[in-house]
Order: sequence, then structure tokens, then C-alpha cells
Amino acid sequence: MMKRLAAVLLLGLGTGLAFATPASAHGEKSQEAFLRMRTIGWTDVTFSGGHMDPNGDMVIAQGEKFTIKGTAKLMNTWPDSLAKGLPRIGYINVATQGPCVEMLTRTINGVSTPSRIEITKGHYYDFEETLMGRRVGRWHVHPTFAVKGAGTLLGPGQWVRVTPHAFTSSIKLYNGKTINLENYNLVSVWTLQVVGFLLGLIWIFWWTWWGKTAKGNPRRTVTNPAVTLAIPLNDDGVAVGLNTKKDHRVVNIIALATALFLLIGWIWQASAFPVKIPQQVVEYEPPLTSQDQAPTLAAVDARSAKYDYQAKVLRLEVDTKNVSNSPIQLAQFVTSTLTFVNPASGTAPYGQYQDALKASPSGTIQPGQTATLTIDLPGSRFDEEHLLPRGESQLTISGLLVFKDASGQKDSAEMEEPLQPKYIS
Amino acid sequence: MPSGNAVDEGGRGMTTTEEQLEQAQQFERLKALVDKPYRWIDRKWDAVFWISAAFIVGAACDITKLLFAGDWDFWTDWKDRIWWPILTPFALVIIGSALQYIQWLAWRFPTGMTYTAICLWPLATLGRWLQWGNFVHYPMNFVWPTTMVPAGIFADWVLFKTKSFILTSVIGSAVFAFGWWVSNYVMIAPFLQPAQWMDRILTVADIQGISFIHSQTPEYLRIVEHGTLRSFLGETQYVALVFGATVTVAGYWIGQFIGRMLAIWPIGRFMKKW
Amino acid sequence: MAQVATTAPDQAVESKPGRGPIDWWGGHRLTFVGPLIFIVIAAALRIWMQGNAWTIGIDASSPGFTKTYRMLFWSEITSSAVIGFWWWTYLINKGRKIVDEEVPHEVEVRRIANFWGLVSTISVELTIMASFWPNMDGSWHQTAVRDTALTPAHIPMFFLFFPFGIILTVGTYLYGRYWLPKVYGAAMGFPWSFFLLISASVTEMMQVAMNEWGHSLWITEEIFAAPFHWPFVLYGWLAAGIFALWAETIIRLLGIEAEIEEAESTGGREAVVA
Repeated sequence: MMKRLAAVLLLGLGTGLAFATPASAHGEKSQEAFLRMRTIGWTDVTFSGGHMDPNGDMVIAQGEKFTIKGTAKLMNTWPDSLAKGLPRIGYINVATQGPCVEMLTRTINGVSTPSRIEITKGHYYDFEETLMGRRVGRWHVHPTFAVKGAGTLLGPGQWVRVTPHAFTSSIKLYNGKTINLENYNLVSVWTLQVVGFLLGLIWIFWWTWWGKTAKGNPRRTVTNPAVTLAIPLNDDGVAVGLNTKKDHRVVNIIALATALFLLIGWIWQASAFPVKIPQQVVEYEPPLTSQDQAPTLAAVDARSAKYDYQAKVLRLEVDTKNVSNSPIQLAQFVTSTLTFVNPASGTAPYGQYQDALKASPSGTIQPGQTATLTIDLPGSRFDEEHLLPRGESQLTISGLLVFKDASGQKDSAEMEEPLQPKYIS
Repeated sequence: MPSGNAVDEGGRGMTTTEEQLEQAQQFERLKALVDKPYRWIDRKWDAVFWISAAFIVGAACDITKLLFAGDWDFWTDWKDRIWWPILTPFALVIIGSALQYIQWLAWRFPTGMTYTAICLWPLATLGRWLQWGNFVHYPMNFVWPTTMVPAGIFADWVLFKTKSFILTSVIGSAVFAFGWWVSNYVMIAPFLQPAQWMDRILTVADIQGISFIHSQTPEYLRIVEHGTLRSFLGETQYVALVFGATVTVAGYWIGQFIGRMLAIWPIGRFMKKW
Repeated sequence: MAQVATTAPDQAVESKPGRGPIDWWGGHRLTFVGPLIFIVIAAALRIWMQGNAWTIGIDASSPGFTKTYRMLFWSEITSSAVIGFWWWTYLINKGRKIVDEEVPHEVEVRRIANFWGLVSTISVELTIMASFWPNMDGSWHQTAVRDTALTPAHIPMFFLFFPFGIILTVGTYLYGRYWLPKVYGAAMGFPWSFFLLISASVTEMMQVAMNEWGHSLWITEEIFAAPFHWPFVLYGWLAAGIFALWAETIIRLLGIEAEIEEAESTGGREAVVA
């Protein structure tokens, strides 16, 4: 019966394994939709470098560089339930499947940024990250914005295929010496570890195997309680022949050898690496971007967000007032990883995370005018990205409405509106 | 040593000479027991015990270290001057202390700490190499685990010489913490060299931490010294070491509790109601 | 129940050469076979994951994940339940039949060696549970953005090896209760040693729920030293009861040796008194 059961289980598993298809994304879809939409608005995210293959993968070699650029807005719709509603510390990074790519440079708002930054709600963060291929394989790479107390929010990703090529991770030390991060001092670390381990092994082998009792017999273990429980706890058993004076000498020698080993190691590191500093904590507030200081183009007031399950359309109605001196037009609607481009504004969607929206009226809004924009978004994209907050505790649609004026200047306005799903026809 | 009021089996008071004779006979009985041959107990039982226990001892020490001080153990950029020397020896000494008690009580072997260390080492090394290295592809010079073997040898030596758990808890723990730090500082030293990177001066360890992406541990999660102990004139490291030694004493007694109350106390004890 | 006046004699129980009660491939065989089974299972899962964890395992919402990892999850739950239930009922049913049979020393020694084999299996299984998979868990969760509770590292760890910790510890108790009645017979009560060891495996399983809840609710980022991980360590310390199992059976072995000596000194066998 057991054999049959095992066979069934194995067969089922084997069948499943044979027909498995690779994932298209990871991790971010399990985060709640309303959280992903209300936190970071990702605009103008581009991947450049290598070459694109017919599948849309960016192909780079190990050691070859590529760049991720874009703008992340820390939205004012940031929920109270994350970081107590007050995001303060952030870290712009990438999400990958381990160190399959390696970070080389990162600038935020034009400033080199190795680690964390101080952040403020409503501000924009222009990031540019240069990475290089490291592990051969096909990897999904996203820019990320991590916020202390909240977690990591992912932007739109790109499949990156890393091909084999010789490479190093070169770093120049303070003294001009160039090292390879991949294996720097690996041999000395292993040597120190192994020698230490061998010393411990010698200690244990002495007590369990090589050492002898007073009568010269191999020392035993499980039968000793017959003796040890009859002598005081603070008695080392030498008097009854469990242990011997030789044991005392041997442990002195091993302990001394260990101390010498450490002393030699200490002298070695002090002379080989005379200049050392503690690990550094770099934290600063990036300067404002031009977008932070750019004039507002539109004031928006969302009126409804309705989802038609049968037609698979998410329809937004937004009162939009042009508060600038130039005609404006809706360029994009951005929410979480998705960007919906208005083809009427002269751009077409590209890449896996972009699609087209339909805006009506599709033309420009004159200065001072208010128009009620009806924006139809393809619901299937929301379904794929798990961005429709069905079954969640906040049925809200949030995002950035990106407008541009006649000169091409862009500005984004945040919208947030309760979702009105049509559950039955 | 028997008191002056020792009695024999008949309830009579014993003289000093009789006490000495009784003690000498007991002595000879015990000596004979040390090497006594048995019908069914041979050294195979010893081997089974030492090798079987190695797994659970190493695992207990590993999980204690991983969940009390793991992050400092995983990455070079976490092995700082303050938290690393305070938390890691504390986490490591616990199981070693329990084994010291068990192995000394049962066999008078001063081996508990070293045994724990050599059981931990292959498990920790295998885990790093197979999972962090082979599975995720971090370079091993970034994710190497700390060693407690030299520290364990010193602590066991103290136990053998003092024959006292109280003295070992104080002297042994201090020696353990200091020995642990020296043996691991030698390994981290090369990675504390400064380098210019992203327009900043950072250590090689910092650069490793940023270059080799770990998406789910943003840099701000790193709990390392921020410089708040500057008032100690740059002697931050040594203050942390001494405090680490005292915290290790606490860890030692936690280990003693485990050894005495969870390993030894239950022997032959049964619950009647449950 | 049959009463035994003194000791059961050393009857000449025939064993094949090399298959005696204390031969490596005799009484001690389970010490090799039991751990090997779990090592092979862990190795097989680990090898399988090498090829697909970072492609399929990374996205719990994908159809590929449903066909592989989710199916593996259900298989593990089902097989653990089936095997556990089958083994326990077998032990109870068979045990009830044999518990009252008086057995010669040779048979009892073989049973103790078997028991040690089960304990060795527990030791290795708990190691895989508390060191091998947690290292993968750390390497996964510190690099990949947290998905659901069903990640490639969690599935074998929490849903196969954790349940088998319970299956093995309870099963070993049942073996001790029926096959070693002089050590763990029901009349004596419930042994504290087993209570602690079984509690360790049960509370660890319970802690899985708290862990996942905490990660979903409080912190999706993975610091290993987070406080809500610490119950894993505290519950794990209860497994120190395993040392008492070795000690209690060693005491019985020494008792058997004493019975043999007594029988030999009185010049031969004594009848079993019905």
C-alpha cells in the first residue's frame, strides 16, 4: 500500500515537473494591490545596455554593464499602515534572484549614493543604477524602492539574460592595489578556518581516541557515569584514573598551540593590513529634483473608479483643471509597476509593463479649463499583476496621472479613488 | 571527604581509620570500574553516541547562532565593532556551556565547548557553501561564518584547570569571548581596508554588501555601529569586547540551565499526571 | 503479566555472523539506515531545487509554481500524515502484543541499539530541520522579495521535515514504551525526557504559524535575529531531552550488565516466575 502511495505521489510530482513553465515575475504580486498602488509611482523606467533579443530579453555578458534609469515618486497617498504613515529612510536598489547582477554605481538626484537616503513624502527620486552581469542565466530584474518599516516596493522589471564571459569585480584600495571582490582573501579565510577546526579536532580526538586512562586503556564514554557520579563534580577524575596528568600536559600544549596560532594570525593581519576603518554608514537627504520644483500643471479630483468584470475595463473619471499657462495633455497613467500610455499624446507603449489607455476627451486641456477625463484602462493587465484589490481590506485605485505641456514639461498628479467593482451584471 | 560523624551500615559511628579504609576501598572500586570490561557495552556505543550527538549539537548551536546573531554572522558588512562582538559570542556559548556540563558531569571530559564548535563548523560551512554560495551565488569571502573552535578550546581548558563551573562561567566566558573575537577579527581584517567607491570612502566589506545584491535586506536594516560611542576616544571596540564578555557570562548560565534542567534533570523522571 | 524474579537469563539467541545485537550491521544498523533516508530525501529536494527555485519557485502566483512547488507541498503534507499515522498505529498494535513478553538480555540489548538508531535518526532529522534548511531559508529570504508562506525554502523545511520531527519523536516514544518496558513502560508514567523532546518538535511546528503571521503583518524584510524568530530557538532547546534518552538507556544497559554479573555469581540461570 505504501509503495503504491509513494508511486502515485512521485508520478504526480514528475508530471508536474515535466510541464512546469517559468515564472514571469516574483514576489511583488503577493503584496496587496492597494499598498503597491499608493506607495511609489514609477515613471520613465528604462533599461539600457547589451542588446535585445527577439523575446524581449536584454542580453548582456558576465562583466558587461547595463543601466536602469527612472523616477520614483514617494506618493502622498502613502498609507498610514506602513512605517506609521511617515516614511523617513529609504534604499533604492534592484530586485533580482540573488547577486546575478552586480551593482557598480548608483546616483539619486545626480548624487552618488552607495546606501540609504532620507526621504520625504511627495518628493521625486531620479535614480540611475549601473550594474553588470554576474551569474549566467535568465533573470528578472526590477528597480526597487525599500522604505524602512514598510518593505520593498518593486518597479517594472526586465528579463536580463547573462551569457558567459570572463570577468572580475575590481575595486581599488586606498593604497592603489586592485583587488577582485569575487575571491579577495578567500584562501586566507579558509586557511584560518580549517586550521582552527583541526586544532579542535585534535582536542576531541585526544579525549575520545588517542588519550588513555591511567591503566593505559582507551578512554571510554558511556560507561564512565558509573565512576563520575560517585566522585564530586569538582573532581577531575585523576585520582581514580579517569584522567591523567598526561591529559593535563596535552591540553596545555593544545591550548598553547591555539594561542600561538591566534598570535601569528594577529601579527599577520596587523602587518598585512595596517590601515583599517570600521564599516561605514552613509546616509543623507538627496537634493530636490527639477520635478520637485517644477510648476504644477494640473489639479485633479477623481470622481470614480469602476471596474467592469465582463468587459475587463477599469474606467476612471477624473475632473482635471489646467492650472498652468500652457495647454496640457494626459500623457500616462502610472500605478505600481504598470504604465498606461496615451497614444494621442504621441508616444506608444513598449516593454512588458506598458500598455495603452483610452482617454476621452483625448485632446489638450486649455489653461484655466476643467475637463472630466474618462480614462479606460485594460483590466486584464491589472489582473495579471494582481493589482485589482478584490478581497482586500482597502478597495482603492491609486496612481499618478502624468501630464505634459506644450514644451514637453511633465508633471504628475496623484489620484486615489475607491474602487467600485461591478460584481454582477 | 566524609565528615567526622560517618557511620557504617550497622549505624555505628566510624573512626577516622575506618573512614579512611572505607574511602580507600571505594577508591579501588571506582578505579576498577574505569576499565571494567562489559558483556554488551563496547566502544561502538561510544562511537554511536559521539557521532549521532554531533548532528543535534551542531544544529542546536547553529540555530541559536542563526536566530540570535545570524545577520552579523552572514555578511562581512555586518561584522562591526559593536554588535558583532556582543551578540555572537553570547549566542555561541549557550549550547557549548550545556555540553560542557553534560560531558563533564557524565565523563569528566573537558570537551563540551570544543565538541560543540567542531560539530557546528561543518554544518555552518556546508550551509554557507551549499546554500549561500552554490544556491544563491554569493562569493564565499562575503558570507563566511565565524568560527568558535579556538574560543571553545580555551573555555574547555579553563574548565579542566578550574574544575569549577562558576569559575569557568566567568574566566572561561571572558576567554571565550576574547578568543572568539581574535580568531574572527583576523579573518575580517582584510575587508576593513578603505577604498574609494561611489565617491565615498567605504570598507571592502561595505562594497561587498552593496555590490552583491540582497534584495530583501535593504542596507538600512544593517545594525552596525553608527559612531555613537565616540566618547570613548576610539576605544569603541574594546568597550564592546568587555561588554560582550559579560553578556557571554549570561549566555553561559543559560547554557547551564539547558544542560542541567533540560538534559540531565529529566533522566529517570516520569510524569504521573498529564 | 509475567513476573520476573531476578533476571532473564542469557539464552543462546542465534544471530547471523556480523548481525549480532551490537554489531554495526546488526543491532546498530538503524543508526546508519535511518539518518541516511532523511539525508537522501533532503539531498534530492535540494538538487531538484537547484534547477528551478530561481525560475519557477520565485513566483507563487505562476502556473508553473502550482504544478511543482505547490504540488510538492500537498504531497509532503499528505505523505507525512499517512506515514505518521501508519507508523504510529503499527507501533501501537504490534507493541501491545509484545510488551509483556519477557525477552533475554541479548534481545533487549538489540532493542536498545535499535532505539539508539531511532535517536540517531531524530538527531540527523532535527539537524536537517534546524540547520540545513534554515541556511537555505536565510539565503532565500534575504535575497528574494518575500512572496507567500510557500517559498522553495519553506516547503521542505516547514512542511516535511518539521512534521517528521513530530512523527519521529512520538514514534520513538512508542517504540520505547512497548519494546523497552523496563525503561519506558507505561506503568512508570510519561517520561520527562520524551516530553521535552516531543514538545520541541510540536512547538516548533506551532511557531511556523507565528513566523508567517509576523512576516505578513509586521516585517516582510528578513532580519534573521528578529525577536519573533526567537521562539524557534527556545523551543529547540527543549530537544536537550534527547541526552536523557541516551542516559536512560545507558542506565538500563548497565543494569543488564549488573543482572548478568549477579546471575553468573549465583552460578547460573534462574527461572522466570509466572
